[in-house]
Amino acid sequence: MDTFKYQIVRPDKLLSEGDALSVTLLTRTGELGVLPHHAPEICALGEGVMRINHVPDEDGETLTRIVISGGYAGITDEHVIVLADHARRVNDIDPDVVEDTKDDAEDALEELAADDPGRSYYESKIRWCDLLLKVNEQYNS
Amino acid sequence: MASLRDIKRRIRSVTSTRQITHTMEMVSTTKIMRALQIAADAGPYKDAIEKMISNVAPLGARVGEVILASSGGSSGALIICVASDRGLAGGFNVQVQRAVQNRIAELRAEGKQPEVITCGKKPTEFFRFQGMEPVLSFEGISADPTYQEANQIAHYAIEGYIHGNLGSVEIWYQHAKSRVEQVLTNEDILPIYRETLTMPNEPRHDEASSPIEMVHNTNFTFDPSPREVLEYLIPAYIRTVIHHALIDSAAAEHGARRRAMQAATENADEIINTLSREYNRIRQSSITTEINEIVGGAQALEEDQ
Repeated sequence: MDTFKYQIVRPDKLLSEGDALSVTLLTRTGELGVLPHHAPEICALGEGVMRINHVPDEDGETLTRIVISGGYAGITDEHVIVLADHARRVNDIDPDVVEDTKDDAEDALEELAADDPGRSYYESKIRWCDLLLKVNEQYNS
Repeated sequence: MASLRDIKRRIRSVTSTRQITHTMEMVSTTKIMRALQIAADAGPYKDAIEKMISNVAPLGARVGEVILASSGGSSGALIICVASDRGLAGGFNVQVQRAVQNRIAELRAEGKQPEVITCGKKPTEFFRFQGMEPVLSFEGISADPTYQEANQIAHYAIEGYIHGNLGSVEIWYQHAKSRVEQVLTNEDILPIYRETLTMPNEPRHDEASSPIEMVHNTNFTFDPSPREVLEYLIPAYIRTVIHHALIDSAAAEHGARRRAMQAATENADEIINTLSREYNRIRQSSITTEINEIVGGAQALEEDQ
């Protein structure tokens, strides 16, 4: 079967890599399916859940769902690299931790002045937490 | 000659110092591994973003052209000095500070107006003492830097650059080459030329991950336009470079401290040995004197009888 390499990286680590049969990216304009030998493309990513159909991993799973937000994806003939601002496996969301992180971010945001450049960091963090909670409800309950 | 009690007291004091330095050495040893792991984990993102930029760059800007728009030719020069919050790490802080100080003198000689951002309490105090107030300073983060600080620094640098207050931005830090070796490194962050992107100046490739080679100059389709993609990627790239420098420096700090503390522990061992020898010598000679006195006294009594 024809496969291609994929890498999902976020700023602090390499989240996932391997051989994929197909990848469904979530771009700003909608879903984008990638099969082997896709034409080279660089696209902006939106917010939501992307899917990877891959060769069976250690647990025998063939489908990985990853929730992403922001960033870019680079597609070439042999591989797909997803450079996400935020990324997390859908089955790896702990709602309690997310709620705590969100509360902390909200507290930190309240302490900052209205024109502080640090605000955008916390705002995006809160948006990301909201997205995680929504996705968690949708897939894990 | 020092009395036995004095020597004993000194031995005790050196032993407790040794215990502290030895503990610090052990703590740093465990922290290095963690810090190096964080630095290695962040490697793939930096590699990937560099590759992606070098793919987009030819389309977004012509060769030799500055990629990020600037009002150009400003005499402001920003130096980001990354060091540590705490001392007791040998020459770790001093090396960076001295290098940055020399660089500032160099820039002044060229007629530029250097300003400095400091990460870490030590360099902040140093530059303040030199009468050069840092434009931004971060304290208490050197051991565990987060993306937020990198964000703030990058924001300042990019804003300053775009509005023409800054002509160049560079970063100085200690790179953790291995667990025991630190190398003073500087990277030019802005301006970005296409050449510097296609040849990333500081090869910091991570052995653990399998880097995917991107083919250069393929005909990419862009969504949205190349220009817009670049406008997003470049700030992200700058943030990444700064963030990477921060975590790299944190790893280097632990390495430097471990080595300094190891040397201190060895020195303490040596002092303890010397002092113990001295102690035993004095003790022995005092015993000899005492025996002589007793024997002498006994003989004197015998003679009397």
